Amino acid sequence: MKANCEQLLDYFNGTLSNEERERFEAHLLSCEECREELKELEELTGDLPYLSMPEEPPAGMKERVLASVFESDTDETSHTTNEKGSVEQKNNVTNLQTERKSRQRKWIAPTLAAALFLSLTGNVYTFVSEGDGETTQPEEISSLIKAVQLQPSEAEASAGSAALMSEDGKMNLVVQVNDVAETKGDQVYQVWLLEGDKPYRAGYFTPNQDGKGEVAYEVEYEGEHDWDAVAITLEPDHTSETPKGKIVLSSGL
Amino acid sequence: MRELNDAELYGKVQAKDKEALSSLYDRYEKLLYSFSYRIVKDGGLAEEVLQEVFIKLWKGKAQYSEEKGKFSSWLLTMTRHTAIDLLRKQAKEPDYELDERDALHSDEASVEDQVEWKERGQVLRTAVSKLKGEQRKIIEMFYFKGMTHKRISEEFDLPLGTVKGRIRLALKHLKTSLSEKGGVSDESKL
Repeated sequence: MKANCEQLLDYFNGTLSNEERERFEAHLLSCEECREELKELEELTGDLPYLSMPEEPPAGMKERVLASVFESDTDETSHTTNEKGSVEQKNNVTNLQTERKSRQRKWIAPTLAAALFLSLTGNVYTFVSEGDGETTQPEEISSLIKAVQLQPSEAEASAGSAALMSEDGKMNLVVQVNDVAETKGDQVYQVWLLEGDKPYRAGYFTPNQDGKGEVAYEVEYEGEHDWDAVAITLEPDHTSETPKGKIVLSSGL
Repeated sequence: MRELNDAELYGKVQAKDKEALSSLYDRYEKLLYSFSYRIVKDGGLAEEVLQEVFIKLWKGKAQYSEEKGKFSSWLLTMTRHTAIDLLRKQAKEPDYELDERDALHSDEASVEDQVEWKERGQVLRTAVSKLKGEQRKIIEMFYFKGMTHKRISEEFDLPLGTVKGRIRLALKHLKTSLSEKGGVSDESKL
């Protein structure tokens, strides 16, 4: 047994230091035995929480807990003003239920974006945009601009995430979805970036048999843009210049 | 309108929807509190665990995605880690006495509001009661107290290399007697 494999139990219990944990996670990628043992541990212990005898929570706990949760929140909720107050967009693309931008705004740890990128290595493909290809202003190297969770439009099980990244002065939109319906014939899922009510093509994909799909798209539309939303529609083929199908997933940006 | 499922609520929580967090809280308060209490054995500490768990959810410090399996399983794991962490910060020696109630299989603890939990707990306690004392103890120390591999090896006077095998064996025994009771272990994967 390699030294690393001995850390499986402590990893499972979450008692490794951050550094150890990262090292062990790297080890997991190359050690099938550990991966299987970890999975087995998770399965074998999955029921154990229900062994706990029901305890009555103390009076007023909900108020206390939620109060401290919302108090913990200092920055995010404070900027509720919509810098583009006029943009109460009626996207003609939609029934896109764009909630107020501020409510949708969500910044996540860069690690998720990194993970997104990692999971894409191997099948990243970039599309040349049909606009005359002037690139956007160079920006700092590889940083996460914004990441959002995509919301399904209807009572669908699909889920997804989108991240805008800036890399070498280029802007990339990375989209990843789960549990979307199969496509038929030439159908594709088309990603759109919306500015006001104007949709811009932002890559397309067809999901695999497990309903997973992903695309990385280099956004290079001329001029300055302030994207309001990202949406995914099901299109008859990959040539739609404006959305023809209904929105499957979307989120404000 | 139908009720939102966990993943949908979680999505709304990420978009800073306070009501969604409150709904998730209501849905899981009792289970998470009872589970935390089972680990830290103290009401005040258990409340602290819940507070930390919900702060992590709200601030997005813990990220759930569907590849991580069922939302409830993920949430329970996060809760267990938080509770174990708090227990360790308490600095005092964790006590790892067996919880005798684990092996009770009477109806005395009624859970009006959580029928499924009650049934599952009932079957589990029956299964636990069939384990040898040593096996119950190792599950207790490992799973509910989050003791380190090294510590368990010292406690049981086992070579480091055999600890994992012992734990697996105990858990497998438990699973076997559960499946003899029929179906429960599969249901848990719903």
